[in-house]
Amino acid sequence: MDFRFTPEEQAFRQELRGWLRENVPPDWEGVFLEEEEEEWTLGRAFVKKLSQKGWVAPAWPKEYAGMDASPAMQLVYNEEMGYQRAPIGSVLQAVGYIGPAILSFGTEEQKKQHLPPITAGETVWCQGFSEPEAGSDLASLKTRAVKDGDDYVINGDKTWTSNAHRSDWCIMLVRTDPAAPKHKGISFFLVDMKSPGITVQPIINMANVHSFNQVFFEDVRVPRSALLGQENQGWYIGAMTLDFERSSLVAAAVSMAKRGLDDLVQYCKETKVNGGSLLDNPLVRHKLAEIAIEIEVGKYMVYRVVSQQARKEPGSIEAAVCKLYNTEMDVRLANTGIDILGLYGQLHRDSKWVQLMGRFQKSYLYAIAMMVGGGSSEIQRNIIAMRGLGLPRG
Amino acid sequence: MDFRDTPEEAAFRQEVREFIAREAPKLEQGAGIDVSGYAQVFVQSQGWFKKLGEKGWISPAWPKEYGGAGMTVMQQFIFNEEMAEARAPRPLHLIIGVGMAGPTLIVHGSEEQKKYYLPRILSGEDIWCQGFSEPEAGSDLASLRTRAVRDSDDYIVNGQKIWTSVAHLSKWMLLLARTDPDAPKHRGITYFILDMKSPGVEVRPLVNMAGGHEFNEVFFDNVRVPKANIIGEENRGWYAAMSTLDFERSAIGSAIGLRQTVEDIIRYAREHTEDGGSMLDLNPMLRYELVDRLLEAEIGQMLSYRIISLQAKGIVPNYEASIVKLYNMELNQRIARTGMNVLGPYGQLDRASKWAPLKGRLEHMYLRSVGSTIEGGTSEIQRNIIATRGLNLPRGD
Repeated sequence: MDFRFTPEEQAFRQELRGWLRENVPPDWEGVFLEEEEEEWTLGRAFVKKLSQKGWVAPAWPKEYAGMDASPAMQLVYNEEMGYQRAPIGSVLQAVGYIGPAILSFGTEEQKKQHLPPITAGETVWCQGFSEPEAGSDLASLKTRAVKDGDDYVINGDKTWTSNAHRSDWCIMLVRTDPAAPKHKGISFFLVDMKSPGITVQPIINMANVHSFNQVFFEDVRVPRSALLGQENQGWYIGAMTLDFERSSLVAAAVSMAKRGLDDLVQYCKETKVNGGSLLDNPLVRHKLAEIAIEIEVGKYMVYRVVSQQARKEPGSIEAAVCKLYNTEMDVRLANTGIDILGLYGQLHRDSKWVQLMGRFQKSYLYAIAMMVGGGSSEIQRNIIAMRGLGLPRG
Repeated sequence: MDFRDTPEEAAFRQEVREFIAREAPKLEQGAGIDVSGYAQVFVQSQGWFKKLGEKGWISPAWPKEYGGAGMTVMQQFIFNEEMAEARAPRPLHLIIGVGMAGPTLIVHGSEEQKKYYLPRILSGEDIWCQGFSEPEAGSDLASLRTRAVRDSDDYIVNGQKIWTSVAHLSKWMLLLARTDPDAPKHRGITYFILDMKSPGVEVRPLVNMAGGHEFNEVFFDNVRVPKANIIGEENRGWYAAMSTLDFERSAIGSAIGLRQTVEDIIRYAREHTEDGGSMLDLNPMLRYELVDRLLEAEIGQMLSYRIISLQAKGIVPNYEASIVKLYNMELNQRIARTGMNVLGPYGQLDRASKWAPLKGRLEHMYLRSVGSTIEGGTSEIQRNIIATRGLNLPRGD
């Protein structure tokens, strides 16, 4: 067991950290995805800058503008991006799991067509998996694709589709064989969002922000080249994609949580109450200590997954444990922040009285969604129960 | 909503309060609400129990004709409240006899059975135990396997019971045994009165983690029970066991006991100083914890009030009684943990130690309360009852 990083990894961390300090705008509040209009514009410009350094997709092969980075190097990257709150929300999905799915299952043409524009910061992707009656039980999805000459014609609707309204492309799971057992009749498509017949309707979330959408498909014609992998093999590509999703997002999230805690401690140090600082209040101290322990635990869960990946060991429950624990920890961190900041914590960043740029208000409103997205906590617990503890399926 | 006593209730309360103040022994160990510490209480309370018996107050709920006090549910509530507030000793050794065997016999027993058994319960002559749980039938009680097979005028019992409180002190057992293995499981069970001194009965102690001998295993090896000892009808035992007299079910006594324990802990914390201040000055976390426990104890008491308010209106409490049992028993454990936090290492001393604070009550409670969410219907069972009857959720697996 050696928790130290190599000199090469440390050098990369220093270089990246220095660059991020210069290039992430100091007034950037940066929590979660850049969903509001001005955040989005800022984020897209940032990705272009990052692209010039070749730092958009470190895990990808060099021929597609990646770095061929080892799992440890990716960890360093994710930690720094998270801690510095780099505005890369607009490419997280494309880089984290859509690109890797295309790399694993795509044809040469598909790779050449889709991968370079992602790293160049030119295309935005969304994910059309969930439907109104297929979420945790995703394999029940009903959106249909019917073959018609060289094309497929898609009908149905997808929901909770983040950023669909800004996306150029969408990865989709669609039923191609309704007679087959439900996991075996699904195909994976790469769909151009400008295709005729696609309607995007906003779903406004609790933070009063337009991030989610419902996407309707009415006789949407896609060419055969839109199929990723084999017909009816989509479920397996999708399941693998979800595994990428689980492991890729968590490392950055834990570092971002650590940054949130550090900011909170600083706030408590500077905030004067009754002739002392907030840090003199034992309740505050205990709350901070408690969440500090949890963040540390979360970090080592991430390290465990990374170390498995580095040894090329097949994971079992570790990614699920990591996702489950850290998204729930994020909710507790948000609650801690809201508790400590009092009424000020509830203000939007536009208020002149806002503290810590309204980050905890935002976290409080978003963190609970993270327990649902990418496989709900209940699903993660089921995975752990079955694969980890060998319990029967519930 | 009016929480005040009516003039009649107030007069009754006054009578009970004065009687307790005049007659109840002031015991060093307090109420000693557990079997293991009860032996001493028992010896010191003989006169008191006799006085209670003369007023019918050993069995306040029983009708007067059977030696009870025939109290209304409201009177029982007041009686229980006053007994608890005064921490007056109760005849714990009679708890199954008075609380279960008596009421069951009054409703389902024959005239001969009532005449023979009821006076012996009240005089303290016969202690009863309850033979329900088995190694593979606890929460799913109707799966019980102890068999009773007819043999002329007797039944022959074979099998095993477990977690049987005070079996080692008992003269009689309320026994549920299977008489028809082919019938649906609730319909093949018969309710017997079993003489614990019969040949073939073997009682083995199960000592709990609090060091007390309260539980037992009871084995039956060809034990003969006369047919006359059936309560009610053959194969109808399940239904008799599930219905008892409609007596007071608010658990107000335990709710008050919990509140008093929290108050004891608070008093202790206030009086004990270290580094020049009381613990409460030095440790604000403790202040909040104590406030939480006191608040919860108040809630526990209010939940009891709800039960009595239903009963006073003639409504039989349903899932509401499960809420009381669930809430108070889980609170029991939280209070014990808070007690341990406040008392520090001293809190872990047995009551025999001269250093044990609060008469070692918290140490005992910490160990004993773990069982309280299991016995008398587990917390899981209570939640299922609340889910199905209270929330109309479908029955789970």
